[in-house]
Amino acid sequence: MHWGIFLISVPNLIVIGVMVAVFALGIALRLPGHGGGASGR
Amino acid sequence: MSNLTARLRASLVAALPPEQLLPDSQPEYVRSYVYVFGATTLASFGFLIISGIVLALFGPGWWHVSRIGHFFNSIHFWSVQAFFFFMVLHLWAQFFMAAWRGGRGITWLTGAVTFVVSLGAAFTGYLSQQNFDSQWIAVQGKDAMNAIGIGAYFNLLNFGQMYTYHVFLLPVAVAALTTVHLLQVRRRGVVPPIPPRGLGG
Repeated sequence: MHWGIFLISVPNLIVIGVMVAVFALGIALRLPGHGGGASGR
Repeated sequence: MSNLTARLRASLVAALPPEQLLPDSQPEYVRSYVYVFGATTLASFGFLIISGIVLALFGPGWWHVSRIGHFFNSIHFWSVQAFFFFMVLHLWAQFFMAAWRGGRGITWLTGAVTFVVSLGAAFTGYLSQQNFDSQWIAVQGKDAMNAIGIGAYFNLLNFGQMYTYHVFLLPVAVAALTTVHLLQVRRRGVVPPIPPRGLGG
């Protein structure tokens, strides 16, 4: 795919899109489990 | 203190007490999937080492022709995809958390250097495949090495040199840097979230 100075293959673009999606989910989702063992370090 | 060994032991225990080296709890803010990316990177590295040992044991003549060889070759290939996938997510997460705060400069630095060394490990891996792909990459890559003036030290067309870098020197460097990185994480703790504006920090 080619826009101006940007040139990228579709597979690479898909991988980057998946990475951004996984990153957003990683921030949004909390790990399951109780309370939290705050050691306060 | 009586001798060098005792002084060394005392300083190591002072720097990393056992409950800090192997903690059984973490602060509440760590309960998010964004903190898992470092662990998944480490798990991918484990898969890389194990599948790499199997490939090294049997050699290119095996991984190109046998079905089991193809299987382990694929495990190694997909492990490195996962390794870089999660390492880059880990890098993004730590960058946006400004994870070098609170005396964690060495943690950040060792992580960044590990990333660069890993690039070399991955590149020499592509050169070690022993197929047309690796020949093409080596012939193209040697021009880059020559252009920046280090072609005399790294001959990409020399399979023996590249293979040794890939199966020994660079993995050992990545493992050593990762060990220092993890010990620093244990020593300094996981970086806390950036406080809201106006609350200092």
